Amino acid sequence: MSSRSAWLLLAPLLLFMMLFVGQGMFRAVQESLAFGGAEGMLVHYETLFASRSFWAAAGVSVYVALVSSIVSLVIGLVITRTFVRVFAVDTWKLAAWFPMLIPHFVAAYLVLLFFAPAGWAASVLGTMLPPFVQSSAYTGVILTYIWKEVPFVILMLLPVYQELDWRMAEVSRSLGAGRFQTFRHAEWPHAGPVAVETALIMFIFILGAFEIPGLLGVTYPAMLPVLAFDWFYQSGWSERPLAQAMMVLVTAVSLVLAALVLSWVRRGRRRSYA
Amino acid sequence: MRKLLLLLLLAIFVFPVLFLFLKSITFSWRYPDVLPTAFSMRAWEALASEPQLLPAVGMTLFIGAVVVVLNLLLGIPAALALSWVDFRGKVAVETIFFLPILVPVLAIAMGLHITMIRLGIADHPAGVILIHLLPTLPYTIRVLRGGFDRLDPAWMQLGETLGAGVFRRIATIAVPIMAPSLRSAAVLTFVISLSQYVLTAIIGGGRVTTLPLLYYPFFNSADQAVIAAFSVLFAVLPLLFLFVWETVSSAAGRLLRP
Amino acid sequence: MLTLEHIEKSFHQETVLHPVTLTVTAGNILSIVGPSGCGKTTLLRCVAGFLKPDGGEMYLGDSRLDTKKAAERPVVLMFQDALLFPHLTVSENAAYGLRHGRRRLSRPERKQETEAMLSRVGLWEKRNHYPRELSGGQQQRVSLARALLLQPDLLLLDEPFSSLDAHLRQELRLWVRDFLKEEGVTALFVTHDREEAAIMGDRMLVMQRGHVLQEGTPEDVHKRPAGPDVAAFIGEGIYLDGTYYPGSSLEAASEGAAAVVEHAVYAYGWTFYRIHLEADGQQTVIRSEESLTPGQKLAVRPKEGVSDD
Repeated sequence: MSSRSAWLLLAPLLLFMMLFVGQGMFRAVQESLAFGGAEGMLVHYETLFASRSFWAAAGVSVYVALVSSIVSLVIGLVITRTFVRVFAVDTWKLAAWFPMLIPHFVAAYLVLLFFAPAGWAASVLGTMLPPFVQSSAYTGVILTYIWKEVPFVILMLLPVYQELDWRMAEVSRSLGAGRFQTFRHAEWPHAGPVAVETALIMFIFILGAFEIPGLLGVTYPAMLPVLAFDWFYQSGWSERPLAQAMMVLVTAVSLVLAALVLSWVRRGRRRSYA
Repeated sequence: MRKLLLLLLLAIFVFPVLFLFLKSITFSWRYPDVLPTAFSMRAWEALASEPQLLPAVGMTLFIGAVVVVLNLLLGIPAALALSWVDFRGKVAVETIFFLPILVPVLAIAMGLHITMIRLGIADHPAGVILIHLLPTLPYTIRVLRGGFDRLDPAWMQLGETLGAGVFRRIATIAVPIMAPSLRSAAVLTFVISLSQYVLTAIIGGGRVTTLPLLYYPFFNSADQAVIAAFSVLFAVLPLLFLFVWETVSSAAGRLLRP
Repeated sequence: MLTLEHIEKSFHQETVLHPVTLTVTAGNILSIVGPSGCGKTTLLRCVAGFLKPDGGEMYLGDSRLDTKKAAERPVVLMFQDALLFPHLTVSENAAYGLRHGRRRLSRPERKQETEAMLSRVGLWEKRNHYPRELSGGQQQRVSLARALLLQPDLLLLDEPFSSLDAHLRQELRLWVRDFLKEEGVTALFVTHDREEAAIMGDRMLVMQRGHVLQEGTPEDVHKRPAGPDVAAFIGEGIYLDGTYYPGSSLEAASEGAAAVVEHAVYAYGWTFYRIHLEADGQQTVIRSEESLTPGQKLAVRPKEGVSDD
């Protein structure tokens, strides 16, 4: 097939993405800027940087996203490499992927059902629990993300581990390398790029997702998307530019992060194939 | 030891959903009861008597189905080109396709709100369908591309040398061999569409009532059993979708068997 | 009868096929043999219709072949792998062309012909199995059944045994040859293995770098190679002073062309030695009464009073 027919096949989706995503990002930036006013163009950004709730939201969002994605990655990685052979059987694999069928907000309700002060865990333990689920530590939000994202990590890593050449690991171990050394040299070169990419996807998703903190979050500090959603509709759209400015910032940070991580991953991949 | 760990994993991944179902058919099961004391269909009856529920189920299924169809229509040709053809600028194209998961979709939705109003598709299912394409397409591309990577082009050439025309080759060779990937992409798309609250709320403006828009107000109501029943509904819909998908595709497959 | 006239093909200014002309008479098998990259697979794909030649004409019987699309040619190509459709059973695979291909039959006819063909290839018992439950050799037999059910005027085989192990390959190629002869199939068979080419073909054609070097019966090609290139490829004899000598007419002697022993070959109770000439590296196999060791230097010369036949 020629590259001209390839472009024909790609055209519809490419057009949709560029028009839609491009227009969305362009408008968001446009609405976050102030035109023709007495103040400067960046006045909304200045207001934002002076806002205590913004900095609190940024802090808690990065914290939640970082903890959730790293913990999910580690648990998912351990499960995947321990049960590679078990997951060759479809039933077990589907069982591990099951939470992916459950919407995020239902998962949030599950966490509440089990870990609320008078939830089922409290019944089993025979004592009321402290209200940690809906607290400013965002424990409930993090638990929900972990439950939802661990299957995603398994989904991403399983193909890598199923195609992994275990003879490398055996050679490494027979040469007297320790467990960590073996992991570092026989597994990580293959699983690492995918793992890092998966963590990136999770981190960016959690940074910008409303669904779970919208249910289990607290009013202060709120997470960024919740604050943005509030501002977007508050007092007759007057706070909209602030909401737009905030999400533009999150977008910029996500893009820079993605560019850094993906270029690092691609460079690593080239090296491991060379 | 491994077996035990595996059982523990299943308990964590699958048991909660069963627990949800149990909760929905109990009566006044609360702290400090470890096990339910009485059963009742009251929660399901209460849910069924909610007047907005049935239209919302219909709207959710409609939007989900259209989003799946559009995903496949846009995704299949693009994934095919990415998998089978080497061309310059491939990395750039891939990056553009993955943009919606590399930036928060909420930002794009907020930016598109005014545009959607001007186009007259805000507060309308059409706008909601379009915005649902964003979080779904990157996954569709990824899954289908993997499928095309495994579909050896020689199979299609074999169909050709046996004298099958291009449409028959697609219907009798490519589609059946790709069936697992197509199914994964469709189910994933449907589940993601089913799980959207904030995008639907912004672009639908509260006038396009899908199930999640009903769920959020329910969440803070006192009746735990009713929320549990509502939650079970969300787990059932993907299974229903999968059932319909499998029935239709196996019927189509039977029709074309030699 | 298949006739190719001056078929040529280039990729990116590199000529893969210099004008090739050949004929295969009805009911006969022509083996095309040559090292990889010689253009044999390109030629086959041109005949099948997957590649468009840059020049030349093809005829099958009286009708022009190269103006038709691949799906419309009364020709079936068998690939290196059996390529059975994984979602269909053995009998559904075999019947594919009778349902979706060039020779559409009604359901009862389809069933009858498919089952008859499957019994002939010895796989009737496996008709309801899926391809993954079959061995590599069985898969190729189903693939052959699928091709022959279309009753093609010409069958093209592209190294169909190359993915099988040596023992199975040996067994299957004899079986396939007998089967094709029994059915009276006209076929072009492509391989890089000269032994296989000689077994499969009524005639064989040696190709190198896009050129046809020689066409003839296997015996002709082995005993009377058309030149040093063919002789080198066949590896059975050498040229000394412009005359061809098969290995059987050479002997080790105290005087003659200087050669080096490479290794011993044990076959049919005899010991042979593969040697190469020190001067130009030509290789052959000779028989020797005394035992030789690898690396040993010796001289070879034509036996006296031995003719070609």
